[in-house]
Amino acid sequence: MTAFLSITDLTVGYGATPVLRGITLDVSDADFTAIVGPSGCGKTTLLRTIAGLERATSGDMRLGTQMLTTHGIHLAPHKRNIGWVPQDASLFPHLNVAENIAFGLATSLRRVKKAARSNRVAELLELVSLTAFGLRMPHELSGGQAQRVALARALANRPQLVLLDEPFAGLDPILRSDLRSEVKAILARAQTAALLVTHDQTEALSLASHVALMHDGIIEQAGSPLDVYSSPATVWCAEFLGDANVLHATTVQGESDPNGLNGPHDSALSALGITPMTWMEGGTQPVPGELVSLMVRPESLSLVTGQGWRVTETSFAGHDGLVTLVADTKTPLAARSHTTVPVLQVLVAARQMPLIGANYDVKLTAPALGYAP
Amino acid sequence: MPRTVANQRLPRPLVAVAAVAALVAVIPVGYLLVRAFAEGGESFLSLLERPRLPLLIGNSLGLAITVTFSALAIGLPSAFLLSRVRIPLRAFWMVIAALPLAVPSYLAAYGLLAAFPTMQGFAAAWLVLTMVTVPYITLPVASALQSATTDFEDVARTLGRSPFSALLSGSWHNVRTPALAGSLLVFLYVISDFGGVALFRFPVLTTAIYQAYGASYDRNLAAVLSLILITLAIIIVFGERLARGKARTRNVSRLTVGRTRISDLHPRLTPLFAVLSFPAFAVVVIPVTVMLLRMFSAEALASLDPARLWSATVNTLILSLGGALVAVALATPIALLAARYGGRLVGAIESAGYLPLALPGVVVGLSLVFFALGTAPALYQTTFLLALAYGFMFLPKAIGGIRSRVAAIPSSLNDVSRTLGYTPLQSWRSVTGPLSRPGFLLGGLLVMVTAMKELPATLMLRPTGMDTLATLLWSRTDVASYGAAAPYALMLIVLAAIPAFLLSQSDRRGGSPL
Repeated sequence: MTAFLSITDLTVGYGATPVLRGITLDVSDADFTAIVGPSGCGKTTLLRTIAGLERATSGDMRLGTQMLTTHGIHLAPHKRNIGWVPQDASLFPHLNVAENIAFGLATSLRRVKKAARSNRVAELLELVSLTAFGLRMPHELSGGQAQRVALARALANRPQLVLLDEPFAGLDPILRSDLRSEVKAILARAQTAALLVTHDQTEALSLASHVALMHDGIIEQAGSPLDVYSSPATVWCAEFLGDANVLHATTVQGESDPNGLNGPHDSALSALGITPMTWMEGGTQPVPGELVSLMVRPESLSLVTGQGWRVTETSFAGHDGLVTLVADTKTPLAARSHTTVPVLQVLVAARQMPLIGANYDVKLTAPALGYAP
Repeated sequence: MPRTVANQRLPRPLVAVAAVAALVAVIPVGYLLVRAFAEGGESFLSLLERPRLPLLIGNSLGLAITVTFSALAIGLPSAFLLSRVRIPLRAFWMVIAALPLAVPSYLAAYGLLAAFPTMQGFAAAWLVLTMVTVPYITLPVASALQSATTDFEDVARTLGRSPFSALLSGSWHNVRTPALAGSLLVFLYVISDFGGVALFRFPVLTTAIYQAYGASYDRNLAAVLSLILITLAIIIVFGERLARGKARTRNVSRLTVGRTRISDLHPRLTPLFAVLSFPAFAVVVIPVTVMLLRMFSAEALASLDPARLWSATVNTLILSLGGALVAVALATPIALLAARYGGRLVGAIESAGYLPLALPGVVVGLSLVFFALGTAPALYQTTFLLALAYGFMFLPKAIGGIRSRVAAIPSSLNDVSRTLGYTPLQSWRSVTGPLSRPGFLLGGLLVMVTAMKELPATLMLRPTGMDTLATLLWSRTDVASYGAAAPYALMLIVLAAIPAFLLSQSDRRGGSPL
């Protein structure tokens, strides 16, 4: 994979806590990349910096063969040919749909109005399935239609890259998932690399071929959706991308790998008993007896007959449900040494939802992941 | 979504142009200072010891304070009636509430004097100025109450408050800011007013400045009195800022959250209609009726000079249009900067642009006389200088009109056009410019409508022999020939009503695209 957009050690903002700190990110030209993070993590600033709307304090940025930012020199936004779809679509209220799409094909209103009748605009209207809407004004469009027009407008100049800033955030959930797949298809047809910013993990995981997790101005992890979900680099990544049980544990002398799974292996003693552990942090393996944090996804656990854990809460979600259990105090366990009573969340199929107050044992179906405490 | 990112850079050319515009707006005051201290500190101090000075200051302040309170007393209940009660013909009552705005104080005073020739002194000035300034309270408070939620009131009711007490506790935080801002405008109107108080022969600072300048040509005294007047105005402007404090930023964005409940018209509320319509009755209906009656008396018709009326009308239009152009030209860079950027420098430039709010017409007139005589005597008593004076005086109106419009345009539109290959200038021409056009029109019209009615600066700066409707009206009232002045007064009202009508139309259409 050759990097198409290449960002090296990018910092934006001044002072002790810049908005973005040392961002390094490579995007290949075939990719649909998603940058996902909680609000306020700096992801929109990163997008605006790539578009040239904010200036980096230091670092380099290259798109294809073109330097965007290097040594404090910045290419002006109008020379970058990067499409930008802002969060609220931001259609020009004084222009109709066709003129909005044609906006990038000229640089004066007179020529834009002429270009609105060109084949390119007709082609783009068809691309976003809005052929009949060319003469509508922006306030006559629904939220989803407005976003599609904004996308067509960004694609008109055949940009090298399209930036999408939370384009689905303001829409209702059903429309949102329809529009997601539609946008993905449109971008594939236009054969344009795209960079999406979102705070919605599901959106990022389902839409993108490459996901970068952003937290407090830095990129915590980047990789394929499966990679970042199943092998989160940090506890924060694990908790941000989905439900996660994080348990106190102590490493124990490694036994032979009972499940035959790959990776650097060890075992840990936690509220789940002695379980195999995959060590996720770089550097040396922890020595036996060291304190670690153990992360297990609720779907990596299952309920079996037993008395060790008591159901305290169930939350039914239709196809499946999340069960919350606490370690039953009547059962002596090694984990009693910890001050807090361990709590677990387990994902079960809908028809197996247990009753509150029932007792079970919990079995691990995939290795737990180990992190520094 | 306005974004404040740490490394947001101010566009240097725009800052430079705006700074020059702000400096131009400050020049008159600078000249006034120079003039007041020109003869050295001793003479300045000796002027301050004039025996009449405490009386003048006391009269100006006393009148301004009493008028502000009486305007609040009429304006607040009127605003409540207009915004929170289901009343028949609401649009009509809105017009009635706004009507006194169309009448300058001297015109109202003149009309009332024609009806009741014995009116004079403090009471008469207080009455007329109150009635003329009530809309400055009623209109902003009504619009705030209209968009504010009544949920707080409902909560207060469920917590055991009486309807009136719930209204006070639930809506006060919404009313506070517009009521304070309105009070500031009323106060500044009163201490700047010249025509109204002069007609009722009530001695205040403005009339004393005019006398010192005109009758005795004691220009140093005029400069010193002007400085005192400006100082009072600036103290009040800062006082209002302090009182407004944090309330301004806290609730603005949340005004529209929640429901606004409109109550039915309770019979006990009917006296409020009298309160609401009294100002319009006192300063519009009575004066206009009396003028119409006087005008059609034989003597008045005989003395009517159509050619003079026509030339005065044309002069009024040209001068106010010139003033509007000057104001918009100066306001544009300041308003663009203030609408898009923040920070100390931008704040200072914007404040300089709003400084003329605290400059009474007499003071601007006087300082431009000094300025012209001191730097370019050829400018003295030219049309250009008078248009310049209008431009200075009403600069804040132009800034307000343009600024609010530009600020309403999302900055993301500009960002989008930049990513689509437009340079900053091309973006301005294709996006911000066309979208903010109504703001320029609004600002210009506001300036025009106000400049037409301006009296003291016009009297001081107009070229010899050039008459406007306001000055002709003024010279007729001096000799108490009410019938002869009536045509000019009526023409002035009609002329001022046209841009006001355009304003209400553009307002109605302007809302749609954004």
